[in-house]
Amino acid sequence: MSQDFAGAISPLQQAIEAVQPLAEELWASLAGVKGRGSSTRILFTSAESGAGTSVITAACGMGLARNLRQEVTVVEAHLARPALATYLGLPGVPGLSDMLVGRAQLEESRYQVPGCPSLFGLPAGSARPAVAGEFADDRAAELFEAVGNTGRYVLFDAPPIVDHPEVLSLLPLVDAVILVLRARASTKAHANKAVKLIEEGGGSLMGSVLNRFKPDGPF
Amino acid sequence: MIRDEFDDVEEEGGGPNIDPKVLLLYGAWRSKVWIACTATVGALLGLAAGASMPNVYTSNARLDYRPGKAESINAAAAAGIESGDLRHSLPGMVNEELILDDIRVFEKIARDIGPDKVLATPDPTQYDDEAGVLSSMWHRCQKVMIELVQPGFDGDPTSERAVRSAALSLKSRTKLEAVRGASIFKVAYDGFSKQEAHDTANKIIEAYVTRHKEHYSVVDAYTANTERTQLAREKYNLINEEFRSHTGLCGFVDIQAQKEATIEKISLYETELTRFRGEQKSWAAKIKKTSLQLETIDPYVDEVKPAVMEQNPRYTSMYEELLELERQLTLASNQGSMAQQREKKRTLERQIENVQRNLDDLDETIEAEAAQILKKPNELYYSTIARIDEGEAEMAGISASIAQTEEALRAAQEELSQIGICEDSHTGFDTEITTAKKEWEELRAVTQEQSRMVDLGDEGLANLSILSPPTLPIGKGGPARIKPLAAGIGAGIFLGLLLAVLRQLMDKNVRYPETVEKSIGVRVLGVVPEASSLRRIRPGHVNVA
Repeated sequence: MSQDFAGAISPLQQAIEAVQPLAEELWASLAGVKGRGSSTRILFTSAESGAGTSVITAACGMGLARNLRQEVTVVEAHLARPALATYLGLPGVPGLSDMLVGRAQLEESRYQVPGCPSLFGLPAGSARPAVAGEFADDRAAELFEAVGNTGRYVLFDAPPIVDHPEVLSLLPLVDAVILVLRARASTKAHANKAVKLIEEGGGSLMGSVLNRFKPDGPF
Repeated sequence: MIRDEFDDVEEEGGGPNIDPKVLLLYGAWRSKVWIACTATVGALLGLAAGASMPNVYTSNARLDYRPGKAESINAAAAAGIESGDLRHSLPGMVNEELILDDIRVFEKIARDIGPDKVLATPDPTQYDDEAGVLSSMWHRCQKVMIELVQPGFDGDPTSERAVRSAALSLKSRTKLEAVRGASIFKVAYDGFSKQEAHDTANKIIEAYVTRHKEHYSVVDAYTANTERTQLAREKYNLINEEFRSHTGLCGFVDIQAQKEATIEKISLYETELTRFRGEQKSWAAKIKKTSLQLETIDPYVDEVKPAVMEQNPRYTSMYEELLELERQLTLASNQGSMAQQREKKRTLERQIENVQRNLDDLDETIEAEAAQILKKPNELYYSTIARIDEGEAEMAGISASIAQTEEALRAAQEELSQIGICEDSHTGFDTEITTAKKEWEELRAVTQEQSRMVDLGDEGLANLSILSPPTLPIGKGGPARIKPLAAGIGAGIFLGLLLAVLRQLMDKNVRYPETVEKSIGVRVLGVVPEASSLRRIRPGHVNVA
């Protein structure tokens, strides 16, 4: 069961909403992903930190929830730098890190996003560095399986795949992977490395999102 | 550390897959400041180059052209009309332009003026007496810049090289143009001062008219060509004479024809010889065959006759009687007296004589019988002998013919050998004679044409006269300083674009959706533009436990 969060719509959420119309093509593509069973799991990762993966994931979640009117859960898997709670106006703890150590249950860590009834958020929880192999053990696998069934669409907000090898453990659990790149900041070398890691890890790379794109001139 | 780890990846995803739109369009916009800077620098350099160009004053003049009769009727001279070039309205104007546009015209002027003066550095301050302070200052700056570009002439003004350079400078500043639809040439000269432009234009006009007259003055050329034609003819005659002397010695007038005839003769003689030898062989075979036949049919009458005689008993008895009488005659001298012996001898002699006569008669009879017996074989024998004689006579005739033909063949071969020795010198004579004849005929044709023009007198000559003398320029007519300025701006923009392209090529970051698709090979699902509202959000603001 999800926990209602009766907070006001944050300025960050307003900003995410501002992004939504511009990412129209993106959630249209996501809606077409064929999932396993009753849910579709999509993982968002980046080549470098600061690419805006969390914002893009949250915006996509909001877009899917509003446009398709189906239950969507955004899961924050970046344990070292939690940001989703701030973006969606949710409480930071308990969250995924607390669930992984058994301090919290799924029901108490999953929050409904204010102003968007079908959108739920599962924040990273207590901030801490990821432990190597943390997502790879059976307990974590069961946990992610349970989390993956919490909505019609489950979107994972993962840390940069190049710097965080634990993301590779999540690749077999998801149906599609989206690489978030930040224009003028992400290098071609890192982007290529990320693509290579995703492909070698068995992930199905659906495409990329170019964030913070600033067009050169009127073109 | 990280870069080393990704080196291989960079090579895979790097450079070759570059979108031209990203390179040029986006690159130009991204580096617009650079392009503006390079264009500005180019413009400044263009301005500086323009400033270093001295002021030009143009003096204009016009020349009137009238074709002569010779040109009017000469199809080649009417090329201006025949080629459809309506710029030249009169026959010969194209030729006239070519005649006038000759470097020798300008060399003459350069010598007249002096190469040091023609090539001297232009002085923009020469009219500064009437100019303001700012103009004077600008002209002084301009002078410094001009001196940098054109340091002036510093060498031997009498040298051919100096004259050539000055002539080229004058030619480059002179414009000769046929006025469309009129028999007029427009001449414009760009000088570095008003007076210099006017004076030099005058000299150019005069030089043009002089050049025209020199070109069409056919009398001197006719005289010179007549002498040359005479010399060419004498040379031709001399070579012909030498050739005749040579042929007088060698006997081969037309060596090629004679060579062919001799070769033909040799061939004929060889054929004849082959035929004669064949016939000779044939006759020899016939004679041999006939001789063999003769051996088989030879009758030997002398052998047949004794056989006939032996078969005749009367001949034997008579012959024995004769032998007996001769024996008795031999014995008669030993018996009896002398008178008896004489009487007996006379008797015996008469008897012997009678027997001998009878024997002769019988011999004739026997021979007649033998001849009757051998009549047929004898005919064959004699006819065969006649055939052999005939064959031998033929053989003798053929042998004589062979000897005669062999002699003729040897003579012909000797002649051919002589022809071979003489052939090279004849070929040399032929070439020399042909060349000399051609030269003579060409000169003769030119001389005849010139003679025709001389006969026509002044009517045959094209005329070029001054229609309007060179003007004294009122103001400056150039230079077109916009050209270096435009070139500078163009070069600056090009350089800026080049830098922009290089910048795009060397860009390591993901900048455009096209870059993602081309360089990384990943489809772009969406592009999220830069939003100031999002830029203010920092994850650090999050209240973490």
